[in-house]
Order: sequence, then structure tokens, then C-alpha cells
Amino acid sequence: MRTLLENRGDLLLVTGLGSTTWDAAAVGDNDRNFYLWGAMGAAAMIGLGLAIAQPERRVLVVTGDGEMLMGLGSLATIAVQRPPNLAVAVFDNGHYGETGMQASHTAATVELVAIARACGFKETFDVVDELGLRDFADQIHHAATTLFARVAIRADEPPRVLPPRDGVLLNTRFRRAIGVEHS
Amino acid sequence: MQSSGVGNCINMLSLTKTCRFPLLMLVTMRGEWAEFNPWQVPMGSRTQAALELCDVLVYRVERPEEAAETVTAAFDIVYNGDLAAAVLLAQRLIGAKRWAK
Repeated sequence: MRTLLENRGDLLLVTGLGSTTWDAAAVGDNDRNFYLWGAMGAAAMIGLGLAIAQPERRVLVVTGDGEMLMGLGSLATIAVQRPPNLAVAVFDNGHYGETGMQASHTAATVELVAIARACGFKETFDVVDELGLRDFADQIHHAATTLFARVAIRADEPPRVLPPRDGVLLNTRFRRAIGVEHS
Repeated sequence: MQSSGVGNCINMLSLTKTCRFPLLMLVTMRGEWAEFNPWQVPMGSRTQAALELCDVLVYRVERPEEAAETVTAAFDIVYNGDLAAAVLLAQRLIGAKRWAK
């Protein structure tokens, strides 16, 4: 997460319910972070909506394999729309970390990158090392099409850093930060 | 969306409630008027109750001449108050689906 958010500029970040929300908070709270504390399966679609509504800004979604699996259909919709300012990264530890570390489908046969490609994503990344991560991180700011990255991570449980969980606060400060909240 | 799809939205309605996002849903109804397919009836007959249980305001349109006014009114209340609302377009309004010629 830290690598992806280095020199983020005004990058908009959406994180999925669970560990990616804690990871983003651990890097540092930011008004341009929209953390999901619920609505499992919604992260990628919220990113799509943001990217379409704010075509001049770059949008990064970072979510987990379990959260992505719950909203797999959203990859089909995103691939059809393919806004050039959107990147979706899935931190894949092959487990449902929030519910007790049960194995997820990616620990068995499901390949998220293959799914994204089959849906129509033109630029995909299967990130397994630091070099690949840096390549993807750079592309987030320069890509000409929607990106999809699966980032292999260890299935560990570091101490949690929790961001604000007041949804109205998160919504309002995000909108203020990008200049669309006038009230 | 169709009324059956409302059932798939229940947890997502936590977003509009918790983050106070405005949301306007236009829902075409199934399972309530001359329905051929019984699988549509369980969700269709509970669509309004399910939405109201999630604090979504519900308006129904039964006649074509009401549609524009009702949708406009729902749009206004949603975006003036950051609320969630659904306009249910009655199956009687849409007309029974023809399954075979």
C-alpha cells in the first residue's frame, strides 16, 4: 500500500472492507481516501462511478481477494466501460481475513488476472515482487486504459490501524477535498 | 432495475444510509400483476417492504401520466435531502410480459 501511494498527488483512493482499509490508514489518513467499512463487494464499482464522474482525476481501488470475489460481476461492467483513469488492485492473500482466515477461492483454482483479461481489461498485472509493484504503481498515474492488478501478499495479520468510520464524515470530507461539496 | 434485483441490493443500501449518499432507484415491477412466472412473486410482493425496511422512500406509479411527475418529485427529494428513494413502476403500467407468440 505504501508503494502504491508514494507521490500520490491528488490520486483518489477507494479501499475495500477489511484489511485494505486498515492498510490505507496505516500509510496515513487522507481526505482523498474513501474507506469502505461495509458494503462488501462494492469497492470496484464505487471506483468505477468515481472515475466516470471525475474523468480528470486518477482513481485507485485497492481491495482484497475476498471482497473482489463477492463483486466479481463488477469486473465485467468495468471492462465494458474501461475509463482510462481507473486502476483496480486486488491484494490477494487467498483468505477471508476478517472472518477468521478461511481460505478464499483464489487459494484454490480462481485466477483473478485471467478473469479480468477475459472480461476485457487490456492492461493487467500479476504482481509477485517489488519490481512488479513499482511498475504497476507508476502506471496508475500514466495509463491510457483501465488497469487491473492482482498483488500477491502474505496472509499475516499485522496490528490494525483504523481510519474514521463515520460514513458522512468520510463522504463530506472527500467531496470537499475534490471541490464538489459546496454546502 | 427490476424488482427481483432489489433483493440483491439490501446490504448495498447500507452505503446510502451510513454515508448519506443520495440515491434514486427506478424499479420495474414483476410478480404483482398477471405474472406468468411464480419465481418473480416472492421478491416482487416484498419489494416495497424490503426497501422501506432499509429506510428507502417508496413511490409507486400506476398510470403513465403519473410517471414524469413522480420521478421528478423523487429526484428532488433525493438530491435536496441526500436521501434514498425508489420509484416502483407497476407491472400493470408496463403490461404483462408476453412469453410466447
